[in-house]
Amino acid sequence: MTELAATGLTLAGRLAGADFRLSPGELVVIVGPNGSGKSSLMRLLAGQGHPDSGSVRLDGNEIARFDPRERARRIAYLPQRAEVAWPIAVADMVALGRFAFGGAEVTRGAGDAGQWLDEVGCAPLARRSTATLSGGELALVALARAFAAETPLLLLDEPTAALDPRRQIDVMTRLLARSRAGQGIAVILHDLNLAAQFADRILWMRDTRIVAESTSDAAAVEANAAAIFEVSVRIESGSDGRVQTLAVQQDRPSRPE
Amino acid sequence: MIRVNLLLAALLLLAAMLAAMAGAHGLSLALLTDWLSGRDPAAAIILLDIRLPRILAAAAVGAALGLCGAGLQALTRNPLAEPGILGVSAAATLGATLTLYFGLAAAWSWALPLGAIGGAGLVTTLLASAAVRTRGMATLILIGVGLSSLAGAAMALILNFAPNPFSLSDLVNWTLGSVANRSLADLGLTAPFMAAGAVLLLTQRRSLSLLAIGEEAASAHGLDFRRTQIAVVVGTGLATGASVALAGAVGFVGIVAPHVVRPWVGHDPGRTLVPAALAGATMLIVADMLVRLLPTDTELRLGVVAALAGAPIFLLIALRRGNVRHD
Repeated sequence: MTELAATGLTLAGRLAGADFRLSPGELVVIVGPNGSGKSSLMRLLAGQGHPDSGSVRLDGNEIARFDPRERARRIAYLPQRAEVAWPIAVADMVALGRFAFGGAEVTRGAGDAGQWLDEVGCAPLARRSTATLSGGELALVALARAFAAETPLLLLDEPTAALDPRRQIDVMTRLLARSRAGQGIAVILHDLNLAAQFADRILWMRDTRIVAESTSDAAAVEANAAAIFEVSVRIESGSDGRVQTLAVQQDRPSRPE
Repeated sequence: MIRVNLLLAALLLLAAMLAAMAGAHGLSLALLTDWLSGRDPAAAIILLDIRLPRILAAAAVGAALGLCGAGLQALTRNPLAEPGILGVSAAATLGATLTLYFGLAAAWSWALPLGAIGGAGLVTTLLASAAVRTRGMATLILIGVGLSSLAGAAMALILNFAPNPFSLSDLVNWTLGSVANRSLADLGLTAPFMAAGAVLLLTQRRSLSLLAIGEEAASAHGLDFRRTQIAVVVGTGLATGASVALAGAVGFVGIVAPHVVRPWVGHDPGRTLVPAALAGATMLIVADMLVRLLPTDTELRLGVVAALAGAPIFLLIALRRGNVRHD
């Protein structure tokens, strides 16, 4: 069982004393205003760069000590911006997710790319050149690449930012299914509606700190959203107590007529 | 993939055979048959001591430059990167001419190749450290242009202070680039460095493929970027330096060869390496054959032909990229 645990992560001006834990089978959502340190946190959790203080431990061992491939076999991390420098085929790009498992796996992965593309609803794109993709399609293909690594843990930085509403829900549904199948997933979102509907836990960040951790039940989401984003939210919850829809409103109740 | 390499290898062999037949009287089989039948002892000397080393030198230099171009382009994720454009060749030429100027090359046969490799290594290291700090691709090219000009200025200074016309022409020869009058011994002196550089570059081909998705995503998938960068930089320094030591500055092969083969390998930067080397070798053999066949009074220099053919292609690629985002 792979576990990721961070204590007291600090990065000058960007992150202060963040504690974090991710276990298999859970879907953790990180939310917070722009510049609140979400991406910096996730980068450190993925073993990219070194904190000024604090530590990230993967299965009890300092993450910096891991061989890069060894680490990449346990954690897949999807950066915020999907980029591709050459017009390679979509299937080849997805197969690059198998890199940490050796060259033969990458070659095999190009043939198996369909299964991961299917997960993000992009199976028909397999033969296309990545140069012809739209921003949203490229983001989905990059997500398929992270899926292709089939790691116990998955760290995703705003995978839904470029997607239409249907695709956002599809992606979150996939992530939920993957977490129920045993994968531990942490995902940064800006959409409180998605966060509240899918998260097992929500981490709330503000001004470089993790200021709250909550479940996704209506009262907790409402209170934290008001405190952190300075917005008020209106929530409809289902009979099971989970949030069904969440609407964000301006904090001041009345607008000048 | 393997088919592409076999096809290119066949083309290379064909070019080499044609080049072996090319002489003062155009293409002719006569010399080959004379040599095989043993009728004319001079045939063996012309073929084995004059044409063969020249063909091998052109092939080695072309392969090294094509490979270095493909490697640097994959590392910088910039299709305009090349040892020539980035000033690596210029620095190697400077290193080589310095050893000539100070008479080191005459005193010690290893001095010139080591000087060229040292110059190339220095500039590739500078470029690589700049590449880490600046993420823009245009910036890297500009730094390369700056380094290239600096090396060119230092070259001009050396030419300026050349003690006599004799050494001046010696120095100028290095800047023009040629594989004429190279012996197998010259090749033996430089080939090991090219081979070592090529091996270093080839060990990185999987990593270079992965680098297509950007440095951050690539290291997230397990790439040791620093190691790849060092291997490519050292490999390029060795191979480019050695090829300049053998043939002087020959530009644009490193940009044209990868560009030509890229569509055949699905634009995969790692899979571009070997085909780019084969294409580069073929291109320089053909170019050198043209140099020998064209009826000019003074022999045309290989580097001049390569630049005349390559520079317009460079411009074409640069212009076509105009409508592509390149931040």
